[in-house]
Amino acid sequence: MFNKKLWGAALLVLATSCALLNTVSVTSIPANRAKPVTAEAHDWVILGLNFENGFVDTVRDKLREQCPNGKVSGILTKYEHVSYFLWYKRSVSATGYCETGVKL
Amino acid sequence: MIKTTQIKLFVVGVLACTLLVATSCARLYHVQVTDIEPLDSTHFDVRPFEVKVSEMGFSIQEAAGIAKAFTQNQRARDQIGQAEAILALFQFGPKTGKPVFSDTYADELFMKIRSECPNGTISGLVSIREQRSYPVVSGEIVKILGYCSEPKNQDVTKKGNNHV
Repeated sequence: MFNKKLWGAALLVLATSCALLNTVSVTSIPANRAKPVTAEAHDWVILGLNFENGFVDTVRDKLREQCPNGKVSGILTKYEHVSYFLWYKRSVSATGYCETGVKL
Repeated sequence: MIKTTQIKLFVVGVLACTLLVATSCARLYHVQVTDIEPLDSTHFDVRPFEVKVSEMGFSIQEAAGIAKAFTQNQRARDQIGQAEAILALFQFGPKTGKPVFSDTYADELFMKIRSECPNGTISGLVSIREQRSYPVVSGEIVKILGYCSEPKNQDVTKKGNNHV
């Protein structure tokens, strides 16, 4: 009985998380919003030990891949944390609109 | 025999200190992605670029903490604590990273971006504000990623003559 309670408490502690929003930004939003595109990148940090922020660099390329010949605008970028017991997840998400037929 | 032990301890101490100083933690403060223009690779040379500026940050609190740890004298520790408290009054307010000695280090970014792509269109800019944290000091970094699209078969002599 005691063991079950202990396991339950441990599971509760491990599953409990807090969300923290660090930064938000938006760029100019186009009139044509027919094709939304979205990209996300994240990494996990254990005990606050983190030596690299490289995961961020992939977000823009992921957006571009979804709109190879068009313009991506109206980009909402969010950088957030979800904090668990002794570790946390950092994630950067970007959503925007793909406009095709736009000339450079 | 004693000398050998002392030398070994000294070497281990130096290695531990080197490891402590050389190991840095990375912190990410801000990310922003801007509009990505159509990147037509048949008529344009599209290349990614990266520019970075940084400045040294300095933490009085961490320096005082280390100084206290190396001091046995209680009076000296109290004095360090008082100095730390007084200096903290001058660093009051919200901060991103450790305080730096110059707030203009990011101003040169615009020129650096322009020099990466003198005649092309710059788009898909990702602005990243991050920190490399060491004991007491830190590298306060601003990094910009982008795409430069320059027309193919461009006259090389014209490069660098266009000013925005």
